[in-house]
Amino acid sequence: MTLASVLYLGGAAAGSAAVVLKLRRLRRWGSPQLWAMCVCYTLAATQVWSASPSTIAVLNRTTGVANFTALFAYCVMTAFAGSALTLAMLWRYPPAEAWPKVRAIIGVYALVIAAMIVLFSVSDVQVERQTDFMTYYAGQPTICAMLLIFVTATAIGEGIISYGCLSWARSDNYADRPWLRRGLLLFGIATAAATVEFTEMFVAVSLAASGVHWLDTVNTILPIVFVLPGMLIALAAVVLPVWGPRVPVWRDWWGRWRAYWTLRPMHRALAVVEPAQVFVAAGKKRDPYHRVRRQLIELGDFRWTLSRWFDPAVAAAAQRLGEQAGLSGEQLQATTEAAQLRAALTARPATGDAVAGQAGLEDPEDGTDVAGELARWLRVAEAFDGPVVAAALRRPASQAASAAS
Amino acid sequence: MSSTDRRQEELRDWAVERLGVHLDGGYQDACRRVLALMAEVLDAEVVVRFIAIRSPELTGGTAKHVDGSYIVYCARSGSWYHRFGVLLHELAHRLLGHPPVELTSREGLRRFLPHLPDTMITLIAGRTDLADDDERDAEELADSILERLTDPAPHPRQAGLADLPAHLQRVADALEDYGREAP
Repeated sequence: MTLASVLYLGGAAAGSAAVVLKLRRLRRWGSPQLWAMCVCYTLAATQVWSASPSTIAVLNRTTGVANFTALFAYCVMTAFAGSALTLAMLWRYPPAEAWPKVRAIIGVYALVIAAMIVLFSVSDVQVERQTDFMTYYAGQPTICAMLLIFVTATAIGEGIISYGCLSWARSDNYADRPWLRRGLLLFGIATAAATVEFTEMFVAVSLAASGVHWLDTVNTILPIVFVLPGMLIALAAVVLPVWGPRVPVWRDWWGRWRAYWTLRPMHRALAVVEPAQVFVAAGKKRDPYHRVRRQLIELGDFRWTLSRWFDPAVAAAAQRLGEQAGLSGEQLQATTEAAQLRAALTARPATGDAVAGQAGLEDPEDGTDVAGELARWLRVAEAFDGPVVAAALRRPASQAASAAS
Repeated sequence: MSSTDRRQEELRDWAVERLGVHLDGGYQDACRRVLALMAEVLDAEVVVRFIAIRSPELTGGTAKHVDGSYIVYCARSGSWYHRFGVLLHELAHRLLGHPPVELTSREGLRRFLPHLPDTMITLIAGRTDLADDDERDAEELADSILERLTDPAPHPRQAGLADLPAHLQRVADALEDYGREAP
């Protein structure tokens, strides 16, 4: 398979993915603009697939008509331009106003396709040309006429939808819908690129018909270069407006998993004091919101149990060492808390029976959502295995004090 | 969805509605609302004591007084979030209608709750380890209430279409497609 075939088939796959995405959302019959969009992408994917050199060879061989696939691809492309123009009308006008225009577009493009078929059928195109059909046969008047009709009708359709999309994307009314604006912009860029391509084809065919072959190579290479990026941009145009608004949700979901994995080592270390307290609700193992919420409640339980073995000497040592390390405020508080927890874990008797006094006399932290509680425990978790806590556990407060003096 | 799950959801929704969706006043204020709801459910006076519970496994418990009132004991934790979670667990027991967990002797009861007055007769629910089915059910319900009140998972939010010009609404309808009818 040639590189050109790979690029075309890749483009067709991107177009097919867009069709699947839109078809999945086509839940109702009453949205003509959605139907037009589905038709538009289906025709684009079909055209790109049929223009692949490997497909051309198979279709020509199967039909037994030399260069049949060229006609087929041009007809599909023309229909695509008609559907794009229909989409522009359905976007621009209310259905009642749009339908007469849509009927006219369908009629005109059907006539264009019929004329192309007639012109092709009266032409002599016996030599199969997979990539340079246009410039090879442009010297033949009927083929030249067919090609000029094709590229003109297609460039007009593509140009109008492109102009509409790029204009609407600049509308201030879309200020609150950045993803829709991006989608519209990409759709406009993809169709603008196609308009440029068909304009170049018009010039190349016109020159070739007059015996000037300056643009033959460009005309052969340009579609191959444009096809995959163009179809990927067209795919992004339908993906971004649907999935873009979910980016903050995915970011939050991922952030919650990161929080879970940050808390996990400390949670596992402390869970030995009350392993039966660890609880994951049925069916929520993969819900990071539930997992982190459970971690926070359970860390509260573990801290409550361990707080009776909190050692003021360890707290003082952690405080001093933390200050020496340049910590202050919430970081210093978290480091002291982490040192207390680790020291209590070691100091607690194996039986777990309550002994000494009960801590928890400090002013409790308050809040209105889970974020504050989570941030506090994340700071503790980060300090839990840190060097300051390790040093505080090695050095009693008195030694830390003398070192400081 | 099983009937148990459905019942849990109904209880959660009812409790969330009664507690109020927003916790603007903080967890401490929310704790007061939990107690008020417990009083409504039990149809009795309910007070709370934040205390040092001597059992390492016990973080909360509800005791009934001979005069019909209740005292909810809650671990004097350093975090109102934790205290709120404990009190929601106690509320969940009441919502689920769990039978009383009676200790075998007053001495046993007092070992865990030395603050218990002589006139308290029964420990009706305690938040202990979660090996027991009732404890797990109560913790699961408490967690689902906590989720709704403090930690709702975010959903995609889009500004409404109503303010857009009609032709831009039709563009949004085709590209975004959230199931609206465009004009």
